[in-house]
Amino acid sequence: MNDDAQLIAETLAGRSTAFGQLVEKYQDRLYNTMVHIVGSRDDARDVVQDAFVQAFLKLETFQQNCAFYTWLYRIAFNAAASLSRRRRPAVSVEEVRDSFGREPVDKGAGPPEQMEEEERRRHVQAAIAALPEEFRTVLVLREMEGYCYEEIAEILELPVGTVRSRLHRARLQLRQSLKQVLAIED
Amino acid sequence: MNRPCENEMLSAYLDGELAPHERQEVERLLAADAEARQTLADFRALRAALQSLPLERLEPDFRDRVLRLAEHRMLAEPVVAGPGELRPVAGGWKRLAGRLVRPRNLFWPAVAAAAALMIVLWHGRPAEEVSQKPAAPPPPDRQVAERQEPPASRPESEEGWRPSPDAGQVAEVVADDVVVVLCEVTAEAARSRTFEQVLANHQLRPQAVSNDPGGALARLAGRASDRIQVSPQAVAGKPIFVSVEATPEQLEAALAQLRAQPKAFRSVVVQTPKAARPSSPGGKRVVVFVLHVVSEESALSSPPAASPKPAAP
Repeated sequence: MNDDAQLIAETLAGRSTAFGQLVEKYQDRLYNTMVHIVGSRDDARDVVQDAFVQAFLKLETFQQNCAFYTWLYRIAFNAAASLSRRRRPAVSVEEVRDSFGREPVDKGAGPPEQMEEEERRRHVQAAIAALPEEFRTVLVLREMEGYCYEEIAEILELPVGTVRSRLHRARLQLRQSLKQVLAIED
Repeated sequence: MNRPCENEMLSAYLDGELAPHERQEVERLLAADAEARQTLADFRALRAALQSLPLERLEPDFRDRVLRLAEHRMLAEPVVAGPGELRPVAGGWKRLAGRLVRPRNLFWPAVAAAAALMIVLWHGRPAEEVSQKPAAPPPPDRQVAERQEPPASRPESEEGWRPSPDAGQVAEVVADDVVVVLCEVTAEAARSRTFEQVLANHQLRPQAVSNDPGGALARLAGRASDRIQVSPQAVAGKPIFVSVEATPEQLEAALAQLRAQPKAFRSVVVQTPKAARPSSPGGKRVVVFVLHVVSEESALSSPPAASPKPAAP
């Protein structure tokens, strides 16, 4: 029995602190991905929180025929998709850049390079967030999480060919959005 | 073939997802076509840009927040949800009820649910049985210990144990009979007896107060008293169970007063029975307040929440 399976068994036996260990283990990884999926820290926090709560409530239904994290991901993606339908019919790069810009940047303290780096980061985040959802999720799973095509297909319940196609189109679109930024980097 | 940049195999090449013969095909393309080479270089730059983004992290108390919310929802969903997401699973209700009433479940709302269930069972006995044996119930500890066992695990014929409801009925009983109020209270408010004052203001007499639902239940029968106090049990992190009998008007007024003091009482969450069934002859029903004592720091740092789904920090 692996660590996750052990913690799941303990949770089902009534030791909720075991589930707390699962939360600790995966919270930042899932949050980091969801920030890029939903395009805002606040929404990502809500999605991750909701995913863990749903996972806790539905833990009996987890068949363990995939990794716990994969199962958790599916729940989170469903929550993110639901949130997206409710809140964000369309998002422009500028809007998303503004939403990421809410984190205070200490303009007085850092050298110009640091500010440039911060600006570049916001630009990249905004470009990701402005991608159509079906492209964004595939791209984030591949580039941020390092999942292979087959794993992405399993998580998103898509054919592998669709994953490959969407990923390529996501890259082309992102390249277009970040042309200037990439040119600066070169 | 389309323009080289349209070739999906470039992405798959970058990701190492090609079969050997496809890989050779892409390498031939790269050797022959500058646009293909540029596209691949751009994709690599994109990857570097994406992977250089700083790791986003959640606040340190996120785990505790999740657990508390999950516990709230665990109480709420099985009793208020209709044919919800948990129902389709074979045996799901039974196992969920098992988690709720498991005696060593340490998280407080689940214990509260167990307490509510046990109170229901106690109050649900025939009126004459209660009236005949108010002062001499079976040995309280044994009785409580027995009632804490998951109903499904009890042999139904065992002496002293009434036929156990099945798990669905368990949820229904909790839903129909007991109002559970989950409430965070600051240690200072607990020490100041603010909660007792609220009860007194509305002529609500505590029947039992304890850190231990079993202990509270053992003292339930006919022990209502204005002198029962919360403060001796007020230890941060430990739940306090207070059972009262209240009319809907009394409860509404008491809740309004609790909510009017957000600095003392936070997260006042009411698990209201969905299908209101007539309660005792006086129109009263059992209300279990589950008070969760929080430190002043955490009370100050987290926003007040009046619904089962607290706002994100």
